[in-house]
Amino acid sequence: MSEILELKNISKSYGKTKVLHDISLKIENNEFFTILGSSGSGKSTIIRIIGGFVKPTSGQIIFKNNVINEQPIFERPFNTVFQDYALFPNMNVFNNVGFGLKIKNINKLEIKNKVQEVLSVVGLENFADRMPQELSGGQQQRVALARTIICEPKVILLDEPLGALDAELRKQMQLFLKEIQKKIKISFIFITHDQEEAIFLSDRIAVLNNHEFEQIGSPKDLYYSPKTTYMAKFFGECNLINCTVIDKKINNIVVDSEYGKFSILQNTNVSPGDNIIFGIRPEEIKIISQANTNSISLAIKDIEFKGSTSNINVKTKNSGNFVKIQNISSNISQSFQQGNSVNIEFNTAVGTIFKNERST
Amino acid sequence: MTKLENYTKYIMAILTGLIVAALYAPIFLTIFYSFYKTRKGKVDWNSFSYEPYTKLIFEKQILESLMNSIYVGIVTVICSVVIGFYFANYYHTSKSKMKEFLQFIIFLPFLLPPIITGLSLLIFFREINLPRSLNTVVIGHTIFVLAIVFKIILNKLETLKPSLMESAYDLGASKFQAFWYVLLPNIKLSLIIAGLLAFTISLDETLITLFLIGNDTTWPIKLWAKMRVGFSKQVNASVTLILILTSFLVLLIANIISRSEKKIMY
Amino acid sequence: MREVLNYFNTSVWTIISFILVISLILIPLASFLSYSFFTVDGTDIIHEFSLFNYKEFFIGEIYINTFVRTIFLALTVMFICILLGYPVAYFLARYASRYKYAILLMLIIPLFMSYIIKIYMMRSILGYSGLINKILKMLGLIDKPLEFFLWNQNAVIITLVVILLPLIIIPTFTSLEKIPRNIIEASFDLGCKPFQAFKYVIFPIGLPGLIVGSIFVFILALGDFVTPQLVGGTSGFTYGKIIYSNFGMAFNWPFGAALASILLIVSVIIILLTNYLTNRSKS
Repeated sequence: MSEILELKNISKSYGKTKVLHDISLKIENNEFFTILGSSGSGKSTIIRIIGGFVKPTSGQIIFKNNVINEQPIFERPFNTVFQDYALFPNMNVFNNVGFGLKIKNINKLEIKNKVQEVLSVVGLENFADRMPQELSGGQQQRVALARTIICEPKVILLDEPLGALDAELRKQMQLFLKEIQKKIKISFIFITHDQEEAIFLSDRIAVLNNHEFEQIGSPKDLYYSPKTTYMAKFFGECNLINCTVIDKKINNIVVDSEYGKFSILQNTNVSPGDNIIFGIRPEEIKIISQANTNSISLAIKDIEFKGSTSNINVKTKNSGNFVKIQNISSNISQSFQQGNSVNIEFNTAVGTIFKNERST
Repeated sequence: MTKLENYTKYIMAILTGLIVAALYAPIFLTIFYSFYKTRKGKVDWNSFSYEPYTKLIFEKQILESLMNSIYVGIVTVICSVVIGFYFANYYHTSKSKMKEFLQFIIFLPFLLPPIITGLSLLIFFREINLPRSLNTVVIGHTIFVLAIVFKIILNKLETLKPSLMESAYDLGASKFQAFWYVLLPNIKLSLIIAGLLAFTISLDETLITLFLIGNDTTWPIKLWAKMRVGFSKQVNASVTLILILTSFLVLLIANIISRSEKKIMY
Repeated sequence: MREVLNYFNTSVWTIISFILVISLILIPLASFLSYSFFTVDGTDIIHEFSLFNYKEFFIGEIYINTFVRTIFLALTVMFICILLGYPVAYFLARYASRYKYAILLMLIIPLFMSYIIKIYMMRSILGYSGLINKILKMLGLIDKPLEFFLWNQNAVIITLVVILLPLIIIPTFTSLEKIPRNIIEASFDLGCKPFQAFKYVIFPIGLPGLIVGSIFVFILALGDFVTPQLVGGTSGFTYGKIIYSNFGMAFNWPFGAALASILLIVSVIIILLTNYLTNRSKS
């Protein structure tokens, strides 16, 4: 797949305040790319740098093998859907959507055809005469999107476009955006702080933490192969267990932890004596009736009834730390009580080993 | 920004500077001529003195006109704020279709050339045999500033949450109690701003006053009379002092507004 | 009674408001208009309907001429104010970010300076030995002082511009400043070069403020009668001055009222027209 846009080592500071540090990414053709981060993490700054509204302190923006840092906003082949839509209040829907073509002096007939085409793509065929003030939030947003699509940019940048919508409308618009992107085959760079939204919409996600990218990958990559403990805890839950390597064999290692000894069925580059963190998701832990060589016996701290399944927290008798187990069928958990001892087994093949980190 | 944009930006900045200079030229000249005298078109640099200012207190006529202006100003403020509040409250709470028409009429004296407002009142007073006096000036000023006072108070009323008054009634307050304990304190600022503005405008209002004044003089009328004779240093001195007063009032208003906006941000 | 009130969706308070407003504003205007139909006999005013005054207006050339001249004067003042004031308002709204309110305040303060003094001081600026001539001489642009600036129509125009400029800058600035930054950014984003952004987005959205300010300046210039007396000399006089003189020594109040009524009607028409046009462009 060909890449169409690259950011290389982009950093941005305002005076002494650092907003972005060493941001690098490559956008592929026809991909839905999301930048995910909490409010104020700098994610809007990234697309403003791409769009040309902000100049990076250092780093390069590369498009088609050209460094375009100096290119002014109106020459860049990218278009932005602003967070509050920024529709021109003095023009109706038709003129708003056709604006990008009008200033390029495209003839009226062609503009008319293209506007109608794009309006039907976003489902607003009959709204051409309306004024922005008469439209609902969702409709305004679709007009803002249509306005960018008509310019046929290489990348469409969306700055938290769904933030102002209520929950149900939001879900509708998420579906809408996902379908549209596939339909028009233009890459989207989408900004949000909502995890679920990111997972639902994206081909790839870049997680922004502390002004840097923590990890970039597909939702599945990020979930099953987190690179840091931050990422492990970022999506869903993850138990992080401090371990010391006791023994290393070809296909597994044996570790000791506060919960007991167990072996991890992975091929890893560690040596006895190393301190590692083992990350295992709560749904990858089983409760077994009979102990075996790989199981640990722990006491039940509490049971959380959730309907057809329950969550159980288990711990050693002495410490306060606990391991969370999810998706235990409630039929089984019914028979348990606080304080009972149970045998648990980790599905260590899908857990993640983190070296050089200390869990907090 | 492109080069052309930079270029136009600098031209506009220079233009702004020139215009500010042009607007302040008369002001600076006034201050200047309160200290210096001219002789045959040339400045007499030896004539510098503070005397006009110190002797001002003894200029009975000027002081009297100032007092009259202040009297007119204060009464105008009281009348316009009370009436303006009444209308603003009415406009805000009424569902009557007539309120738009009412608002239009309130704005008329301010939008029309002052000469018309002045003349209409002059003729009206003559027909009802009301002799011209300081109080007729008050009526004229009140009508004139009513539009501004009305608009300022109305803006504030419209930004208040309706639940404010509703909760007061819910807790058992009578209409008057709700007005006195809840509404009034919350619009206090806008009342002050409107009042200060009304006073400042009334102080300098000339055109309408010329028609409505009787035998008394107010400050602008005094100036109008003196203008025929030519301005002495003293007149310039008094103008400078009034200018300082009004500038102070304007800065006060600006200060109040910016502080109240900062509060809202929290 | 209650049914009548309910039908018009009014209340006792509405009636009271009406009475107040009618007696303070409408009745004086009405009496003023009615005066224009009266005539004068020596020092008495004959309260009988007559169209004499209006006939005089149209027959006596001087009145219509002055009126038309004053309209052109007011238009000139308005256009000069637009020409000078719009760039200032634009500069403040778009480029001056940190200082804009301070500069705006500086522009507002002269409004509160004594009206008469401002005009009077213009004499020292525009006159033979005044500031402008002194500066021009200093710059070497002229040898002898110019008489161009004072005691004529030009002086009236210049003085009115100096007085009224802030009144056009303030509303223009207000409506330009309200334009959200991201709308301007959106226009760039969609490919506008800076001038196109101004032409298609900034100027149209900021237009209402400019119109309000312009009309205000026009009407004030139209009705002014003090400026010509102070700086106009013999050749610079306005319609307002003629109206005023009828209430002074000439003591022909009905005629003055008639002249003023014509001014009134023209002003009201302009205000209503502007109102209608700006409301139409909003929807």
